[in-house]
Amino acid sequence: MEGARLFAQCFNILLVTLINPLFLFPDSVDLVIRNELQSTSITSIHYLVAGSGRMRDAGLRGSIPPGESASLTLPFRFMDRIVFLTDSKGNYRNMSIALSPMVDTIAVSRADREFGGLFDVIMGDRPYIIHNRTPVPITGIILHGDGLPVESLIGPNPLMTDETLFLWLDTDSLAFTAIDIEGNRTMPFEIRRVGIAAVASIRISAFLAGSAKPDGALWVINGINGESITGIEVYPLYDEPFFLDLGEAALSLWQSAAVQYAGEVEHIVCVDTMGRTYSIGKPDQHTEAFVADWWHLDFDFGFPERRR
Amino acid sequence: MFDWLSPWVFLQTMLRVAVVWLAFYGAGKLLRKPLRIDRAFPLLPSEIVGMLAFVILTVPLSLLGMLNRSVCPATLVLLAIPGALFTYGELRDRLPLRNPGLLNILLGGFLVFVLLLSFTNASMPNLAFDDPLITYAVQPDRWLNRGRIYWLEETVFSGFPLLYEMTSVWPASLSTDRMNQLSVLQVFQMSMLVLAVFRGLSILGVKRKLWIPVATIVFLTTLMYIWPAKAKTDTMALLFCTLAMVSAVRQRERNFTGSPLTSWLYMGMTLATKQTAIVTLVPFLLYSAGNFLKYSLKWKALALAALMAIPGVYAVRTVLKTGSPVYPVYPINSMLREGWDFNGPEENRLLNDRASFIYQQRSFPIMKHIGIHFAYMEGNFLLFLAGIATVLFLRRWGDALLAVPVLVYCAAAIVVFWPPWWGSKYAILLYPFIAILGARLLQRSKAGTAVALLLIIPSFIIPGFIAVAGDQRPFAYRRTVTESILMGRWQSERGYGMWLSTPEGMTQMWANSALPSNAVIFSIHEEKRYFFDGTVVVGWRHPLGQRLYLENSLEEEMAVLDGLGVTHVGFYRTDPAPLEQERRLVILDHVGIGELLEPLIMVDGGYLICSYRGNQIINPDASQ
Repeated sequence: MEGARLFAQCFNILLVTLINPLFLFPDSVDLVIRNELQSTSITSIHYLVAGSGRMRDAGLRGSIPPGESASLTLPFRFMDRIVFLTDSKGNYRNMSIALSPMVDTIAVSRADREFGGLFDVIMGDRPYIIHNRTPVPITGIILHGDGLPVESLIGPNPLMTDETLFLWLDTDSLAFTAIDIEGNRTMPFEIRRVGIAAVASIRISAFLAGSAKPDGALWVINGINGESITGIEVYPLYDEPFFLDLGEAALSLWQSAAVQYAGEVEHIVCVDTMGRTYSIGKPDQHTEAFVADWWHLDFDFGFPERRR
Repeated sequence: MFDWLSPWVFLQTMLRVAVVWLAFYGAGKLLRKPLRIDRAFPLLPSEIVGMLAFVILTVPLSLLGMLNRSVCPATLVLLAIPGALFTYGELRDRLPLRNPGLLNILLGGFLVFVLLLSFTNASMPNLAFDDPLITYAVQPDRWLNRGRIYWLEETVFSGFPLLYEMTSVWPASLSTDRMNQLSVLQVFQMSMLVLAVFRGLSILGVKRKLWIPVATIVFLTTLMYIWPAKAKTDTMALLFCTLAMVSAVRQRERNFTGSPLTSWLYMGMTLATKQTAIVTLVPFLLYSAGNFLKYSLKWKALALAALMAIPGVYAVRTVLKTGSPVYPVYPINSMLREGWDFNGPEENRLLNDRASFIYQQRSFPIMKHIGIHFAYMEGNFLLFLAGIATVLFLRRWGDALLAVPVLVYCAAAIVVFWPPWWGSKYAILLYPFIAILGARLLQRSKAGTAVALLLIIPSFIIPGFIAVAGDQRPFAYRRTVTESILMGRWQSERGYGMWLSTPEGMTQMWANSALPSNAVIFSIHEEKRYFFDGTVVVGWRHPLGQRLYLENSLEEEMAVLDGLGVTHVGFYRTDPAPLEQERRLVILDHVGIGELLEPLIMVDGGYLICSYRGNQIINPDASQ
């Protein structure tokens, strides 16, 4: 990724400083945008020149109703992406675009929607990059500060695990709270910008309200949304395995249990209310806890008649 | 999940497949005399007689609801006992008493080594390749779950001829779980290649000293390493096709007396295994036409009956359900019943048409295409060329004419399965026959055996260490697989990955543990269904699901999903559908919490499973 960014930057510098003095290429190119969305108007258009790190407004005058087109002038550069904001929920985008010196046309349709992976929220031109590093969907991100919107930034489409939100905002610092799919809120994040970009990762620890691994014990956290952990089997490296029945104290999302055992552990198995098991080989490096989540669900390859 | 990575599991899998063949052989031996098989089908070996008997046995077991993982293994083990006794007797009588000689020991050892490479590869469950996980391994698995053969409503592939599936029920029934089931079915297919080569050599009367070189060359072929290691119909069709061709050639000979029906039966079995094998009718008819015209009316009728009997049964079954005898490949549209019209979305048609503009980077000059077709055959083609050169040099024009149907077949296969870089995999059905025929022609010369032995060298060196026409499986890769299985640990230091799975496959494994077994997943594009107990409807492959991909309103799209009883929808998060198909899928505007498609989990690689909440959104009471 970094290599590609560097290449694009070098390419742009080469184009502008070395070749352009020969007037082989124009400084800017015309681009026609055709709206092929149904009953949705394009209200603004933004572009990110590869390597620049700044999301620029393309200066669309008015909006582009469905079925109509508009012409824009953009710098003749390799574009990391062009983002189309609309008057309904959801953005649309084109990625990695080499503009032509001739007049290009970009047709914007549902196929260009930001379905996932990364999302853009454009309120300025410098990025705050927010990663979801938790095992559950993040359904809300609320900004704190005067003059900022009070509602969640991300609408109904959640930020799934390992997805990224690019918040383009011209402030030097940012405070926000993330909300998970069960409505739990993180402690407020505060990020200060150094250079152009600022990065924040929402991790499990943000939901734990300051709890930390107890000394001399195994720490087990439930990271499964919609399911509780009712028991924990510990498989020590040298001792006999043992089972801890949590009974009434079943762990719901982000709740944790300390298992008093100081020796080395081969793996642990968490059991949920439906009897499904989650085998976890090693603790999470950030919390030092064994985190049970949907990715540790044990697959059952047995035939139905032999199912446990 | 990695249980298969063990020499003991490999041996157990081999043993299971051996039990199946012993049972087939035992049943065939027991039935041979009472059914007077030698009179009607003199070139039908006992294991094939037994295989057919077991296929027929699935019908009453299915009607009684006893086609399950208790009755089937018991039947197999019971009949494997006489099979083992017969085999022991035959081996005792046939094993040579004289010293085999150092060269034969070395060659035999090399063949065993090559077979070990192929069989260990086959024992590695292939979770990345689609076809078995879409239908070929799915139908035997579901039938055994339910104890009976039934039409899987969610897949059009239930309309296929099912000789492979009805045979595979037997090895599948011996497996311990779904992962092991794939392994057993793959090894079973590889074992069919062994049978095809040695029975083919035997029927065509190739000298014994040529058997090891020919078998070695066939098993060294890259495509013969790749395709028979998949739990799908190809190798079974290859087995029947090889036996059909060698029988047809054998029946042409002057010294052959007796019923000529065997080749026709084999050809029918080929067609009842794989619909696209219809192209192999071209060389078969060229070999058989001369004799056929000389038959009396009675024998002509019997030959045609032998050809059509088995595929005919499946055709009738498919007609009763869909209206067309061949469905879904080349259906007769005018015969189709309402609701069975099969019109995949344009984007999927383009993706599946390898001659379309999407694949224009591979639109080579025609001579290169032809070269690719023949280069894929590797050592088999070298044997064939050596055989032709031999008979031309010896001026045995009658023998040289035997090569003509093969060349006509190659021309037909190039045209029908255009372009060859993709379609050559469909042409593999004739590879062993091409090698066997080459050996048969080569043995006319005194130097034939030496030439065959020399041809092992390029057959090993070129694909193993230099280059191949298509997907590569160099010797370093084959060695990695074999060593990994025999040592119980993947040898990652050579840089080869296991290619263990794909995201949608992993999602189904997850779904099988996480979702209720009555869940219905609608997959927008990806086709796998094997690991999920519930139902997976692949929208663009399903006559009812295809309506979703038309220009619809949201209500019409929801009606399609509701009509199929969908509870979940799966797609790749960042790119839900191929090309720009999303343009027509209005429902993709409604992904989100509280929306029609509520994201549930995204498995590594970006495959997303959403809950479909159509019913709850329309009628909020339904969610309470």
